[in-house]
Amino acid sequence: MRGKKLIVFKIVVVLITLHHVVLTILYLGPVNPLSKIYGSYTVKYMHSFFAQNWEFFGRNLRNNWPVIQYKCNYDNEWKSFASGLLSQHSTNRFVGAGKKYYFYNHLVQKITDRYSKILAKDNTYPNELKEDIYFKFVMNLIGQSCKGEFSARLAIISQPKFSERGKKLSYSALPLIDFGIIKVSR
Amino acid sequence: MKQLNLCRRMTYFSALVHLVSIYPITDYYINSPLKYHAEGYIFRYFAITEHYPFLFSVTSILLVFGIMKRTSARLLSIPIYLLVTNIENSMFQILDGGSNLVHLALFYFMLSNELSKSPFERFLSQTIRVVLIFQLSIMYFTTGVLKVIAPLWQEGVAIFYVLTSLEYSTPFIAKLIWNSSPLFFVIPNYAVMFYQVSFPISLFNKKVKNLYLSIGLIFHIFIATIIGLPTFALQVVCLYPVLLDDKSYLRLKMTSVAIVRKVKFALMNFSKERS
Repeated sequence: MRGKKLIVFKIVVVLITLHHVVLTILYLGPVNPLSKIYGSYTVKYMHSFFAQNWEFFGRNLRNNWPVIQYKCNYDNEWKSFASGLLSQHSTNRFVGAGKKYYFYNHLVQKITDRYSKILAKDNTYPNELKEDIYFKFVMNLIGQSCKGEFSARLAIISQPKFSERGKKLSYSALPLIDFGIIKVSR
Repeated sequence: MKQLNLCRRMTYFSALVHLVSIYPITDYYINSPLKYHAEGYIFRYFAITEHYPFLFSVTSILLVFGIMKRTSARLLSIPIYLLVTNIENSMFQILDGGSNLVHLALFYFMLSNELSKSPFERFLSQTIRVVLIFQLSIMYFTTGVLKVIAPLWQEGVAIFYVLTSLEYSTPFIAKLIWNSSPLFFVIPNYAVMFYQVSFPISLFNKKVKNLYLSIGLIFHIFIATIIGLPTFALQVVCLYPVLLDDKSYLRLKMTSVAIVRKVKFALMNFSKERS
């Protein structure tokens, strides 16, 4: 009796495993006639407990990224949280500055994405930006760091291209929008 | 089944290290708008509140218990899965593929009880081991294929761009690569693509598989130190034991025991000489 139960159990486990394997392949594979038929079921199943994305440095490899730069009171040079965190991260990989960088970078990316349509039309400071929750949060962070008023801008940092090898290695910052002088109440 | 148990304990260890690494950012999260925009997961953002230190402590204690105690009881693996995924998914913007892999592994561990003697449990655990091997293989294969179709990887300059970027390099490495011969980044570029695409095939031959695992280990040390993703590298490597056959597992165990003994002996000698 126990032997029969074991056989039935094995068959059920094998069938569930096969179902899981096939759906994982369909989910990760390119669009094909099968994924068109079973696409919605596959996505529903995979997003319950098995959501996955393995695009490490694949098609999404980027060579420019947005950054919010600021100058406290009477500073002469533009600074950014990103550059400070990255230099900390490059000195010691294990202090957690990398994770802080991703957090900050995600906020800046949110600001840039949300307003990319407006930015494409006009490089001026859109009024809606003043009320944006991400923008306010980042400005508050900078305000705490500067302890007073500061000027801020959104810039795009570009990585030098392969064809530029031979020249001196430098990363250019292209200013995109100037936010002017900002006062944050403490 | 010992491989699966080792894999489970190492995965708990990597989850613990990751929790420690994200703990300092939790305070930022609680006050940030990012907290309210977690989406796409079924368990989401109810874990991170101002009581997060308590939640992190409970999760860490359970993980330590899971690492130290040679147990695979579901009573432990279910709360570990729920707590780790809830905490991490509520901060999903700073997660990477390593956490994704750990979440999947923690789900599979809930189903297995590898130290049980019951034939039902043994079969289930054997199946979970196969599923984990499949998961690792499809991860490498997918990421490899996505590189094959990416223009920068096809042109052999992807590693160049990664290592001269500000995000995934250091100023010293960036300068070194910028001035170095293309040999130093073109060959690794195609080698990475070949390694990842051929990873599943390597599993069919014991010798080739062990070679691939050794290369993988070196590759992930490189990712941890040079590219600057230490937790990601650790999380992936912690699943490697599942790929070991019985002989390799035993050899690895003997070597580890011998190294620990030698270190202990050297330390004892050192302290004797000093006194």
